[in-house]
Amino acid sequence: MKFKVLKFGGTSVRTPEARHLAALKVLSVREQGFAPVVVVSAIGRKGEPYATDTLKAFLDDVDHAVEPDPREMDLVMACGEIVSASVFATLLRSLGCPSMSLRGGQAGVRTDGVYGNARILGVNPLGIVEAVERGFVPVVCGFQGVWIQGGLPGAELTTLGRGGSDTTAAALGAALRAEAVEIYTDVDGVKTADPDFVKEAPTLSRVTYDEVAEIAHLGAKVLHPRAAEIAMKFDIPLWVKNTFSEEIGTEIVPSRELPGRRVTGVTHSGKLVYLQVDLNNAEPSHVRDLQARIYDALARYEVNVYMTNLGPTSIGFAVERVFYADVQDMLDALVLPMPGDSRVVYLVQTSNEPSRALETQRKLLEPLGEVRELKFEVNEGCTMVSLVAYDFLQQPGVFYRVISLLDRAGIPVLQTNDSDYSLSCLIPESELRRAVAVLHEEFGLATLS
Amino acid sequence: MAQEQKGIDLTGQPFAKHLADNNSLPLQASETAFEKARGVNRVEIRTGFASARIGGLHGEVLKERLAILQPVFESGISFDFLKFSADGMSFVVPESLREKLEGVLHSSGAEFEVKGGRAVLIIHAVNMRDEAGLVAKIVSQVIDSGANIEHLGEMHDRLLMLMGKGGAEKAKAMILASNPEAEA
Repeated sequence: MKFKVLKFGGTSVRTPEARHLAALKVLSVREQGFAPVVVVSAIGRKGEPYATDTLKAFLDDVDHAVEPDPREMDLVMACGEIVSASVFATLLRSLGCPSMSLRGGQAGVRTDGVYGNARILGVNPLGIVEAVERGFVPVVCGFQGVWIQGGLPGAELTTLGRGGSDTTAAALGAALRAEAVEIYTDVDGVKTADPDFVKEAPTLSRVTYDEVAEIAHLGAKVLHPRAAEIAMKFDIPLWVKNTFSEEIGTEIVPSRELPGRRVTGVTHSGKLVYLQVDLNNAEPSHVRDLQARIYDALARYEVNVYMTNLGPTSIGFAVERVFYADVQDMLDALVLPMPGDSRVVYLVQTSNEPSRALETQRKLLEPLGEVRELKFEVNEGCTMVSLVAYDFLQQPGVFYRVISLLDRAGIPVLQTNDSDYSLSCLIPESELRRAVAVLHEEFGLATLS
Repeated sequence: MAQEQKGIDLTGQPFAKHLADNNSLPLQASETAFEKARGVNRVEIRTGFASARIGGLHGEVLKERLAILQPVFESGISFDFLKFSADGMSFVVPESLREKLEGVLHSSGAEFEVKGGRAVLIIHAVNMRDEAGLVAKIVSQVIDSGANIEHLGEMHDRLLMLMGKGGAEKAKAMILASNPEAEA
């Protein structure tokens, strides 16, 4: 039996028309002699009645002062995919194609017990295989699985966190040894840049798992890195395709199938706030302790940091703007005592004028020793533009070429970050559109395919 | 319980068994390890690097730094891990280019320090961005190990930190001790 897994995201199942187009893709795969296995996300996006965020709000709104229990949150969030799968299976049946919906647990998706961000431990696909043998097209709820050893009656429902439906599709593809996993979305495949910024950005015919994972990591929402990781591990051919067109899409392949030096594309992240503290005010012997304490505080409050910089004279990092108020609350007036006999105590200041909390702390601390302020310079209007490449960035001059290009275009670069596959620059958000365009042009990406 | 609509029959074995949520069949070896464990899964060290730190810059951020980087670029020296600080910048070159770099920086008149014998500690963790606070936690642990992180870079599945070789060994041991499932 030759399986193909087709995953349809929120926009692909959002309206009756979209669902009809998605269903036609399923029928087409079936007519080609494959056994289609469908995975669906919840219907629509934020604000729409059955979207995951809307369902989540039911619990969030019960009491804004109390965080909902993650187990209850998983149950309510999983409803979106259940509605979507049932609607899609019914649609397929209305088109003459026997079909049945399966919850994640019924499809054999087994996870660990981390509600809200569960990892797939394994997949027992016997239920899916038998459904197919009986002539049905299974429509599986993405984003969910079950935790067997929950200690509670029956299996515990868990959700897989961000990109969960992509991850479900890749895991089912691996378990079924599928011929391919096709991720359907509302773009023609992996583009060299966001088409909203660069209209002529072409669709790449092939990219490697690592490149697409890095593109996703840096902000593009084409495919979740967890799905790429599973497909790479099990060598499952993965495609990104458009529900709304007949374009062939992008094939995601192992590195061995796509050697050669190249620039893959330009991507960009969301809104960031960059915080940098000048440590020239600190004793050199205290720098390491200050670094450790600040990062320890960030870890304890589970803050995701970007563009991290550690040096003898400064510490810098960026955080997502939606979380900045929380980070500021956590850092402002933070007291950093030094170990040993030191009578110096550091106080963190995150705004131009000292806050009331900071003044209070200072008054309390002054009798105990010398109080020094560590003032964070905060740049709220930032974003990150990144060049993603394969076996290219190690060449002499690429880094210089990127930052000097942005400088010539009058775009300030506040910080940089590089890795084997990407080179990122922190820039003012107001310059993002131009930065994407000039990098796209400089590296000749409009002619790629 | 047969359904009224034709084609759906959930009775009989093994279908009902396989569709049960409380299916307690043990996972087969071939089914397991779809996703790597959460958090750190591998730690490695690469050696053979030198780091440069430029200080004493206070003018227009990018222009001043480019004026120093231009001769480095024109000398064919490849650099990575470029980081801007409040009063300068730092970057990394292969150890083999250390002397050449020192010559270039000396000619530029920049205030600089170049250190050889640097190593990159690479900490692998799948999809780090979705593990809230993981990057900060790793950084904090590495600093606690006594290592002095000089540069830091990241990608979707790993964190790269430049430091002295001795510090990298200590940090690797500490990270492995607190993540027993991670591979060395």
